[in-house]
Formats: sequence, structure tokens, C-alpha cells
Amino acid sequence: MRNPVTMAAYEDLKTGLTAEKVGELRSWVSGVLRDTSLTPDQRRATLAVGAAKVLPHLPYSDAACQALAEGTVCMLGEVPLPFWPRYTAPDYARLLRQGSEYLRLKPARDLHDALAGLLSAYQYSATVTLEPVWLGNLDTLLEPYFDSVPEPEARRAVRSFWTVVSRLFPSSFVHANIGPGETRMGRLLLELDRETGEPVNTSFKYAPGVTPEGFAREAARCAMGASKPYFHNHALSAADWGEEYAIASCYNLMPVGGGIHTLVRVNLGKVATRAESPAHMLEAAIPEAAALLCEIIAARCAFLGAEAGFLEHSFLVKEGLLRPGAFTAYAGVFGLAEAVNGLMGGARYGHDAAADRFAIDIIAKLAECVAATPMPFCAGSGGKAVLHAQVGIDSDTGYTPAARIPPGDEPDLYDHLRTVSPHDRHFTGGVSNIFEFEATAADNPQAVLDIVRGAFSLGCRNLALGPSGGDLIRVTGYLMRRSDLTRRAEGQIVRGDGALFGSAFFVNQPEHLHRRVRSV
Amino acid sequence: MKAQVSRLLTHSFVDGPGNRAVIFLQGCQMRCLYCHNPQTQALCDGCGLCIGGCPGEALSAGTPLRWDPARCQGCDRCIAVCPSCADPRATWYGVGDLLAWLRPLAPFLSGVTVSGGEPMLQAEFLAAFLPAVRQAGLSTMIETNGLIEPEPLLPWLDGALVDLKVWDDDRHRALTGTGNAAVKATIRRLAAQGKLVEVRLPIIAGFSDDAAHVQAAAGFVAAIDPAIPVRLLRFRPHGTVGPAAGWAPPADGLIDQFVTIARSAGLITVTRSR
Repeated sequence: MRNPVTMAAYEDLKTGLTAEKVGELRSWVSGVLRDTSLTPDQRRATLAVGAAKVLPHLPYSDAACQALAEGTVCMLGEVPLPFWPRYTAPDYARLLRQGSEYLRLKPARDLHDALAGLLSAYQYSATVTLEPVWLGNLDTLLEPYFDSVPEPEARRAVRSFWTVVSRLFPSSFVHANIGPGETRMGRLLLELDRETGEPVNTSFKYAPGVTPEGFAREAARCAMGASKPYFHNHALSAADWGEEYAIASCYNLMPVGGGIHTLVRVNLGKVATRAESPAHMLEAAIPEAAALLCEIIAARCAFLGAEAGFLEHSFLVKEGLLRPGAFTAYAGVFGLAEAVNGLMGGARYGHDAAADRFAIDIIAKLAECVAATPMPFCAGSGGKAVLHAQVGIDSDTGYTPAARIPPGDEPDLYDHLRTVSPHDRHFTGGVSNIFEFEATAADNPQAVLDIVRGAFSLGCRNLALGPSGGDLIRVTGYLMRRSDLTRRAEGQIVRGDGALFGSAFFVNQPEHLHRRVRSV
Repeated sequence: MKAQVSRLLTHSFVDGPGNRAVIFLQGCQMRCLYCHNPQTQALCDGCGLCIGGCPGEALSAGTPLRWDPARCQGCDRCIAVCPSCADPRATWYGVGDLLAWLRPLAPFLSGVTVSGGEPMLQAEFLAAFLPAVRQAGLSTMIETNGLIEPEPLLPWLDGALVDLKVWDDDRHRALTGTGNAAVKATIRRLAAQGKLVEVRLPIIAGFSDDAAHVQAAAGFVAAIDPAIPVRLLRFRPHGTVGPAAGWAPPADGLIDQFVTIARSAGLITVTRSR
């Protein structure tokens, strides 16, 4: 089985499609449009990516091209010339307040207006997945309209909305935020989320001491049933981005009204193969790789900002729902475990203090290099790209996502959290680690919260918690249904990109299906 | 002052509210046929029978025996051959030792539960330890068989989880070696003080797997206070020794029936183990 968006073989960095590769392109196109395991939309999206890949890449330096060819630096589903941003987080509160001239929407007067307005606007949010990656902070967004209709009607309307969202956008990169304060709408959304168990991503912005504990326990109960919401350290991300921040797609942070132009990734495991020693890694290999990474990000941001014309021409910008000044870019990071284990001569990441210290030094060094490089069109984060803990795709075989500890090699719960949490302050662009518990953890949601609070006290930014063996599985940063694994393996059509990507991921990296189960 | 500790557990979701560190103390007055940790029942008398069979040569003579954790392979052969249900690896810890162990765990915990064995057998130690745990911002609980009333510890105790192993006194004696009048008195006493967190009713074939038993036990608790949480524990042979290792767990559906019976006896919160 192949991933439907696998880079076509005809791609050449400097020339794009060449005459002798036209035959391959034709047979690839022919294969995709006959692929009975894909829906028409999935076939069309795959072909569109293929078409955009006939062009050469931007004129990167020879060293950068070499890094791309070797995979030291790589992209994730992006085409050579980006023509719209990777992620956007439109200011939906503003949309509901002012309406939209382009969409011919009036300001929302009641809950029905608000829900219809959101559903209309989601269609236009222009992201890499062609679907919205952020649905808004839905609780605070909708709470003001809760009393505009009788309560049973409000509950029914929100339930229908949630059904439509999950069916209209069967993407696992669609993400709703809840919290940190308690609202009736927040409770209703948690209740619906647990009950319906759709793979739509949700995050719970949790601020211990501010978020009421009873509300947080509801979120924990939901997590132990549906493997979501994420528990997001609100204090940490609000300090980085301000109170108005969005958690979109997998767990990706950006200002509300802003977006992310592009994501380019560095494979630390491959960087480490160029280093002679841990010291050499920190002093030479990382700064060199970071320079190439930043060169590519900068070129892509410049193209998007100055040439692609999205920001000037989108109604989202004209009507103030997106602000060019709130955009930035991600410097993605993965393969930390391989980098550490490869250079530490036997000391293992997550198991030896020296290895863990080296890991901290690596991420800190990379963060320092990225923060020292000016980045065009990245005013959303002070004119610099931000670090993003990148969890990757099926083809990243042999490299552990982000700064995670390889599945199967996880230490005890607390040691695991102590190892990974110190990195999170550097991952301003988002990070998560996954912990699966015995299913009976659902009986004690307070215990789950205790773990979250402890993790936050260590600097943890975001936690994916769930029951072992649940129907929804956290693949890397997104969810898929366990039953879709079998369906896809049999070549059947599945709804949604999460099921497609996730199936391919688990086929190539089955160890992620066997994460350590935490005893209760 | 020191306590003899059988085992330390850094996290548990099933020993009281929230996530809790659990300290299992060595020594118990009951001799339950179905005991899941029989090696915690007695204190080591230094007989030395286990020394020869230790593959890592981690044990040496003394009373109690000396145990070298660095050489221990964790094979459990010592406890398998012990004629008195003791554990040569049980270790003496002072208040300071346990606090040092707790300190890095504290951010993850609601509190500490002292279990066993029977924690009340080392009540004097607990009187020194529990106030210090409170001082560290953690709640304090014990899991007790109820034979000794935790009266002197109440000022420092946030709650207790009590096993009512069998309702009928004769059957209780047959299963545990002791009668249960004291257990019932402890349950009443703790409830009156507002410190009864949970009553556990083990469901064991031939002893407590009949409706009348569950009805009586649940009715007893409900009469004290219907809000007292009761948990039905389905017997599992795992960890038991002797004949109990061959006992079958009661049917899953039976436990569900008992939950219904316990609720109809007036209890508000009834849960069950899997």
C-alpha cells in the first residue's frame, strides 16, 4: 500500500519535470485517477499536488539542495512553490461580530447564525489540507449565543454542527479549542466529543488554578474515552503568544488571526551522522544544518509573502480575519532520539542522565540558531521562525518523531515526562507526547489531572492522553479510527486523510501501535 | 523510628482519589487464603531457608536476613520458599527516607496511601510520618483490614479504605483467620468521623459470591451512610498461593448483578473492578 501523496518520482529540485520523465508522470497520473481505494476528492487532491510538483523548487543554494536531496532537511507535503499558507487561524470571533462582505454574511444574532457563519467560513480558510485546520476556540466563540435559543434547541443545534463538521471535513487535522475557563458550551462540547468519538482534533487549554477542577475532570474523562482532548499548558503558550492563540492541525500554535506560511523540517538523526562527537554536533553540525533550514524557510516565506499574492488578495485579509502581521513559519524538528543515541556511545535517550542532558543541549542550540536568524514575513513571532516538534509521516522510517522517545523504549511515566518536558519551552510552534493508560484510568479522572499538573510543573506544553486499545488511536499528532486500519489494509475506501496517512504510517512503523501502556 | 516496607509504588490510580504514591508496609494479622501479597504477612525471622536458592547470592545470614539490592535479580524465589510468608527484601525506612523518596514525585500526586500488609501494625511510625506528608502538601490515606481502629492517627489522616472481606463472621474466620466484629466497628467509627473513603467487598467463590452476602454487607454500609462509596473486587487468582491459586474468578455478569443488588440496598456509589 502506498501513501497517495507520495512525492512523484519525476520531481527534480532544480529542473522540475524533465522531458524524459514525462512518461513516468503520465503513468503516475493514470494510476492515481484509477485508484479505487481513493475517493474522487482524494484522487483530485493527490493529482493537484502532483501537478504543482512539475515546477522546479525555489533557487536554494547548492548546500541547501544537497541537504534536501539527502533528507537532512525536508518538507512535508508541500509543493516546490507554495501558493497559499500551510495553516491559518482566522479570527472567527470577528467574523461573527462583523459578518463578511465577501461571504455575504450578516453579524450573527443568534446561535443558528453563528453556527451557519462558521460552517460557511471554514470552507474558505485556505490551508495545506484544503480543509480548515482550526475551528476556533469554540466554547468562548459560541457561549454568548447559548441563551439566544431555548436550551434543548441549543444543544441540538451544536450537536448537528459537530456532526456536519466531522462529515464535511473528515480531515484529522481539523482542530477545535476549548478552555481555559468553564462555560456551558465548553461542557457541552466535551460531552459531544466524548459521545460521538469522531477523529476531529480537540485541545483543552488547561490552567491549573484558573480552570475549575470539575471542568478539567470532564476533559480528563473525555480523554480516557476518546483519546482527546489534548491537555495544553495554557500559561506557557499564553506567555509565548498572548492570550489569543490558536492550537490548529496536529497541535500547532499560532496567533488567532495569523497563520504559518510553511513548515520545513530538520532530521536531527541525519544531522548527527555528520558529527564526529557530541561537542562537534553542538558546535558545528547543528549551526550548519540550522543555516540551511532557515535559508529554505526564508525563501519560501519570501515567495509566499511577496509573489504568491495570497495575503494581498484573500478576503480573509481584506476583512481583517487574517492579519499578515500575525503570520510566521515553522522550523520542524525530528529524530532527536536517533541523534542522541547515535552520538552518546551507549547512553540512551530517556534512560541515561548524560543522554538526556545532551538532548536538551541539542534542542537549545537549534532554538538559539533559529532565533538568531531574521525571517521575512514572520512578524507573528518577532521576525523569526519558531521551533515545531515535528511528528512526521509514514516515510520517516528509522527516525523517531520530534523529541519523543522511541515507542517500545519508553521509561517509567515520571522519568518519561522528566526527559521530554524540558524541551517544550523551545517548541513555541507546538509539541506533544503520547501516553496510553490502562482503560480503567477512566474511573479516576482526578489521577489523570494529577499527572497533567505534574507534567506542566516540569515545563511540559502539551499532552496526548488516552486509553490503551481505544477506538480512536493517536497516530502521531492526529487521530484515526482503529477499524479504518483494517479497512484500508483491505483496499477499501476510507473517509478522511487521517485514516489514509495513519494507515500508511502504521504499516511502515508498526511499533507505534505498541506504545508502553501505563499501569494504573 | 523506622517502618518495615515491603514495596514502594510511585503511582497508583486505584488506591484512593487521584494519583497516589503507595507504601506497602510489611506484616499483617490476617492470614487470608486468597492473599495477593502473601509475602507481606510476616516479618523475616532469619531462618535462612531462602539463602541457598538465591541465584544472585543477594541474601546472607542475619535476623532479619541481609539483602543486597545490587545483586537481586527480582526472581522472587526467596518468597516462594519462605515458610512463614515473609520477605527478606523488606527494607527499614525512616521518615526522612520516605520523604526523600516522595519529594520528586509530589508534583504528580494527590497524596500518599499507606497499605500493606496492615499499616496499623506500624501505627507509631505513621504517627510520625503522616504529619510530615501533610506538611508536604499531600493528602494521607491508609488501606486497612480494619482490625485496629485508626483512632490515634485521625488528626493526620484524610481517609481510609477498608476491606470488609466477608459479611458472615464464621466465613470471615474461615477465610482470614479472624472474626470481623472489629472490622465493622472500624467502618462505623471512620464513617462517623467523615474519614471513610471506600469500603471494599471482595467477591470470592464460596465465601462472598452470593446475593444474601452482598445484600447484608451493602445494607450495613447503607444504613451507616448511603453516600459511602463501595467497590466490589472481583477475585483474581493472580498472585495468590496455595489452593486459592486454583480458585476461579466469579463470573463477570455476577459482579454486575451484585452491583445492582448493592445499589438497591440503598448505596449511591457502587463501583466494581474488572
